[in-house]
Amino acid sequence: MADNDPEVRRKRLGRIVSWSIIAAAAVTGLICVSETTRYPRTDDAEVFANFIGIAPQVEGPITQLAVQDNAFIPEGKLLFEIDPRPYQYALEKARSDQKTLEGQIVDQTRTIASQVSAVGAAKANTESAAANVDRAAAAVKEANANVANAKAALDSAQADLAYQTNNFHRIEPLLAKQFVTVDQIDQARTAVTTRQQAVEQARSQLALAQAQVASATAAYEQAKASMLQSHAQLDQSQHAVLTLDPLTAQREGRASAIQTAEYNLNNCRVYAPFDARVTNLTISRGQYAHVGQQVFTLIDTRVWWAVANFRETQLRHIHPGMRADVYVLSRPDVKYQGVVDSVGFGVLPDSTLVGTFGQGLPDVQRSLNWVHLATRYPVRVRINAPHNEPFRVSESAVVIIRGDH
Amino acid sequence: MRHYHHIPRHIARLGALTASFAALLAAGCSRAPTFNILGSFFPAWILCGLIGIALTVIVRLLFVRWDFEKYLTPMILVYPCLAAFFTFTIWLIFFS
Repeated sequence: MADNDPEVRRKRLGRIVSWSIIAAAAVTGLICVSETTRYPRTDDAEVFANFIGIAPQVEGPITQLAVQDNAFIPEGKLLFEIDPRPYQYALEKARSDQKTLEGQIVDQTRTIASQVSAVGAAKANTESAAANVDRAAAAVKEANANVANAKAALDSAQADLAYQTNNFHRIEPLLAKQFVTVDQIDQARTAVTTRQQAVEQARSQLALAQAQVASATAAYEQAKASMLQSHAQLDQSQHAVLTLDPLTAQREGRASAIQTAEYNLNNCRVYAPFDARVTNLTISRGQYAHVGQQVFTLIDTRVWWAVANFRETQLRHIHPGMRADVYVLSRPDVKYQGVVDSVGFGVLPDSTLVGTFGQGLPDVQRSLNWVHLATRYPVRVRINAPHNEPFRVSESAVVIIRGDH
Repeated sequence: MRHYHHIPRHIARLGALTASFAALLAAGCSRAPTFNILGSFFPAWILCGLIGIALTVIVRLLFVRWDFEKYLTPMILVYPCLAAFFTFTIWLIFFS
């Protein structure tokens, strides 16, 4: 029993150690699983920055190339300059066109002034014609009065003739009885003859006066017609006055032509739109730059991200705004703080699962896959680092999500 | 009897060694969990696993020396679990 006693104790100790090891392995394993679930991590990550292909808005040969490949360019610095002379000339032409237009407007203004004077003259003509009409009307009235006058004279002459005729017929029979002298008879006959002529004269005066009425009426009609004509001429001259609108309407067009020319001229010099690194610059001065065609690439160095591809099962533990640790493998000892900016919402479908999209029938693969790999989605983690921290696009990185704190 | 008296001392010595090693590395805890070997990046858990296996080998040698291995049951579980335990612990200490 004395020998067995330590043996039993050792057996018991052995069992305790064995099960302790197994339990410890299980516990630490569970802790590891919970740790990686709560704080998802991936080494499938790369450093990333947005970049643009810089392209000119005007075309021409590059006369000055102010940057070198891989150089750092602060915002607003000149990148390159395209030969500005054609655009300078275009601007001068646009300005000259505008001056021409202003000259045309001055000329047209003068023409219009002269036409306005012509309208004034036509107006005066109408007034004169109206006065003529009044005068002709007065002449008609005067002629009518003359007619009345002549009629009265004729009546008077006829009355006188009647009296003298009666007088002659009264005294003529008295000649036989010698109550009157022959001379008295002759006088009476002469008086009758004279009065007859006076009547004839008065009648012809009346006819003359009536003819004058007709003439005055005709003159009146003519004056009215000429008044109508002068009114028509006034209307015509008023309508013939030109306006400045066709020319002044061109002012905006000419001004915008100048602005366009200035814009093009300014675009001959291309400046850095942000703090940037030049890359993929493979041209020299003299290269002909086309509108909208990239000359080289600018990496936007203001914000750097780590784009980490997390498995779809991890995404529900990752939300924008969470903190993250970012390690860049070119400097594995440095830990950068990051913030989750956004989580990707789409990647290219796996052609072995859903087939390829195309016309006709769907191209679906036959498969006997029991194990499917989790899809990975890119998560953008913004790296909070000093502005001059030297990152490079597509550097390998490791991202560990650290939760909301 | 002799073995029984020696075991706690050795275990204590091993524990102290492990603890000091842990304390040494814990200082440089903020390190990328990836190792560059000739331009290839290996994940940290592979390294932890290798260290865990190495430590298990050492512990097994000690068990053999103390004539204690025959008391471990079931042995097919004990050593893999010990290796897993070391792996998990090292990973948790240095890379979590």
